Amino acid sequence: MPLEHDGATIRLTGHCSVEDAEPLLDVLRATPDATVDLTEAAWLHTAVLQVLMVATPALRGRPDGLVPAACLAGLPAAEAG
Amino acid sequence: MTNALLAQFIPEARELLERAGSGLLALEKAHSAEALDEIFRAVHTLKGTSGLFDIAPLTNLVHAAEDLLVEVRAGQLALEPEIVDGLLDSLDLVGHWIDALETREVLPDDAADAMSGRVVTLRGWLQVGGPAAAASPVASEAAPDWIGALPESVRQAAYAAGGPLIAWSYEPDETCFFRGDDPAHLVEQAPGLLGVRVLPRETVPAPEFCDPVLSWLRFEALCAAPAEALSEHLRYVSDQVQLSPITKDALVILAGPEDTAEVFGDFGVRARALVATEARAELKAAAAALLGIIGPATRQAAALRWIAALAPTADADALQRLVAAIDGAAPARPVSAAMTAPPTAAAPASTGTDAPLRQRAEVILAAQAEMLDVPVEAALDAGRRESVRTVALRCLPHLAPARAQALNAALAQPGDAAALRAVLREGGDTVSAAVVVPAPKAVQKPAVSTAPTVPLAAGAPSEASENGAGSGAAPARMLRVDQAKVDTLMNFAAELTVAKNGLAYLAGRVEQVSGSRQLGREIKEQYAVIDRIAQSLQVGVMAIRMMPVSQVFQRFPRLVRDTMRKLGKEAELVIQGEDTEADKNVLESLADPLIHMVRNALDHGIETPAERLAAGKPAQGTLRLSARQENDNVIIEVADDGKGIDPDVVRDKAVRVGLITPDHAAQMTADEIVNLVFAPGFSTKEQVSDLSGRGVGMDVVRNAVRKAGGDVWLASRLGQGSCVTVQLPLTMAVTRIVTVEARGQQYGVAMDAVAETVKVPLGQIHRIKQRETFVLRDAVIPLVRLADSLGLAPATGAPPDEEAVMVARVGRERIGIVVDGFRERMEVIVRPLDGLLAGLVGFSGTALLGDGRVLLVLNLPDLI
Repeated sequence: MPLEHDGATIRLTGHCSVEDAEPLLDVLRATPDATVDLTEAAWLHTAVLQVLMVATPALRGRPDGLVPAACLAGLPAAEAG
Repeated sequence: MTNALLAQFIPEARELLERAGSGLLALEKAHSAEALDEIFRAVHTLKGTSGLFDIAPLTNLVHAAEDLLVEVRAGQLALEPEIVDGLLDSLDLVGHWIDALETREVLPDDAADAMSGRVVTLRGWLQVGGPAAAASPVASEAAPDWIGALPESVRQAAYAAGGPLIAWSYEPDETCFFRGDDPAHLVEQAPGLLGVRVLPRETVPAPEFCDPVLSWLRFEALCAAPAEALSEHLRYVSDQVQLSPITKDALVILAGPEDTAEVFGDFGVRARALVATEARAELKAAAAALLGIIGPATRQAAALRWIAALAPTADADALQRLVAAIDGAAPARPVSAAMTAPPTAAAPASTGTDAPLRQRAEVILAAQAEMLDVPVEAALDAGRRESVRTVALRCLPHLAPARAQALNAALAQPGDAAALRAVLREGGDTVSAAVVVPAPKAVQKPAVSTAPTVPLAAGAPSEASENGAGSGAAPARMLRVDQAKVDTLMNFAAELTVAKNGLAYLAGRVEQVSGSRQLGREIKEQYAVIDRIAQSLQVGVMAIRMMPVSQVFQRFPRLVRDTMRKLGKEAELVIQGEDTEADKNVLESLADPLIHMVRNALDHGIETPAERLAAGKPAQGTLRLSARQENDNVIIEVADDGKGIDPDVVRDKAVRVGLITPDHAAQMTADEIVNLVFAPGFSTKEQVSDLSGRGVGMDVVRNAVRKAGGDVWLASRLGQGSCVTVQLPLTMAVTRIVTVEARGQQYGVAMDAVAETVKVPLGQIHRIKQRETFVLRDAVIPLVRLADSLGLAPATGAPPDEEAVMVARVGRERIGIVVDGFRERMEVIVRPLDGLLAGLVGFSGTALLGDGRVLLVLNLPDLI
């Protein structure tokens, strides 16, 4: 399960596929001020990237790759910790 | 056909092939993006649907064609005539396979071999044409305008990277996730990816309304990779991708407001000297130093950053251009700025006197003025003014020099919004009126909606006309019906006509047998009603079968093009009256003769360009195909402006091959002589060519046309061209005939062929050699005895005092046919002889009479 929800922190790990987009959107809708931890995410599917772009949560860590970086460039970084 | 899906695929495939073929021809004449898109869509759809069936060779071939088209569309491959030939040939092959699919539901056995050969050819062009074309300046012209939006650092890195550069945008379609696509992954894995920009196609949806399974992104990426590698990588989404190879100079886009500081002039002088002396390190240092003291947002700062980044590697020309962009683009000299600025996406257009662009720029400026009119809070006003300034600056290169100067002066005083507004507005009134009034269609939609000076009334009709055109252009609601069904309906209508005729007999018999004239009359009244309905039915069914001749004509652009290329001649095809309608069967019977005639005209008629010029004609010949309706006939003419037919040559040849005697030849007019080309076995061209002139020439044409109940003749003027005229009945369904009697048998003769009927006293029939003739109004008419021609028994008893002669037209000659008597006229459906009777000479078909008897209908040309 690449999606772990722990209080105000949502952790995406490994390879997130298109199926993870909808649950992620649901969680983000339920917790508008959530922080999304991407430190252990290997690859985010386009659909997941889209959800992040829509919900604009604070991000911890950025996945590798030019495309995810370009997608998520506008999102705020979470404070360390 | 058992496979319903395949049955549906076949007509669709044919339509797509047709569309792609005509698109290719259009494209060869004039490059048009729409035509290319149309072809591409057709081929792409064909590839997609063909994948449903087990016809891999077809899919592969179409795929290769599609790949080629992708390159063409991306501007990397010029559409050479050879490539068009190759694509057309491939489409033809696919057409043959479709035919095979229709009859046998499998591809021909040799399909795989034929396919691999073609695919190698097509792919060959792809490899040869790709890099060669990419190096050409034409290919790199269309740098997309979003390149400037990529981060400057990315562009500078790309500039330094060198090699082929491709800028491409990718808009995955909304439902791509359902197909398992991951667009981001595809983009990430693109070969040589240097930078990417991701943006929403429209606005980012709100979280509440966002559907996580629909894609709404657009990717704009820059790759340093050969075009082939990239199109291979993107082959499955090629319809959603726009590839444009760009030169590295296209990357240098300097955006931002002008800085008018004098320091740039000093820098320019120094920098030029540094470039000239190849002191690159110092140039870089100078640029960096200047960057430290000016604001980073200006255009000059951008140019300085480029200089700093490129100083060590770039060639001197590029650096000089950048330097010029810094000091030469000072606001006081806006025109020279436009001239010397490095080529950006928008700038190339500005160097020409591009009136439409200028008008559009004015419209945009007027919109800016409108925007400034709207009152806002002071906090927002500054930002708004800044954006107006930016827009105005971008418009500057496209404006008339005087106006640009005035605007520039106004822009130099940032505080004075009112003055700026006035200047912005200045050109707007005249220009936007000029844009909108003369040709509302030509105005771009955004221009209409943003131009404030356009009166509402002017906008509304243009909108309405667009809508009107939209609904008018919508495809007519069509019903695709198997022709067999219509033919069945036609047969029923015909049988109804025959059965109806039976009522007339019945009325006669009622009067005879029961002696009740009252009943007979009532039956006749009823007959009249049914007659009317039957006729309406027949007209209706026949209307279904009517098709415009364009159905036949549409294959000719291709034929003319191919033939011309083969012969090395030039000809323009002019088609007239393609809306003229005729029965489907008539048109089909016409198709082959027409091809023959067109080939003849091109092969024998139109001369080579050199010959034409020598004869004082334009190098390009004209072939005119026209159709029109005359009474119950369709007249089709094939006219060329070639060398015409020399009657002397025809006469000599005709005498030599024994068609006519020298005496006979001496009496014939030039017109009659040229029509000898229709005689069997006559071909004027000595050399047998691949195209026509196989010795079966025009007599085949005449036979085919006559079989369809028409006629053909030729008019020619030496040195000026020839015109072949084909006359065909509008419909072959119902034929008016007259019945004649010979030895007690009744035969039908088509009324069209009958000129008149006369009684000729025996004494007036003269025998000239073997042939009987008589004189009708000073013309000698040959006589044929029907009974003899049909091989009927000789007449018993004494010959009558006078003979009943039917004077008939066969071709353009008149001939008298001696019969025993004339009976009645009627409308019948002539059915062709088939089965064992098909080879029977002398009859064109059979018809059913009202009383149930079968009538043989004579084919007069056979009897002579």
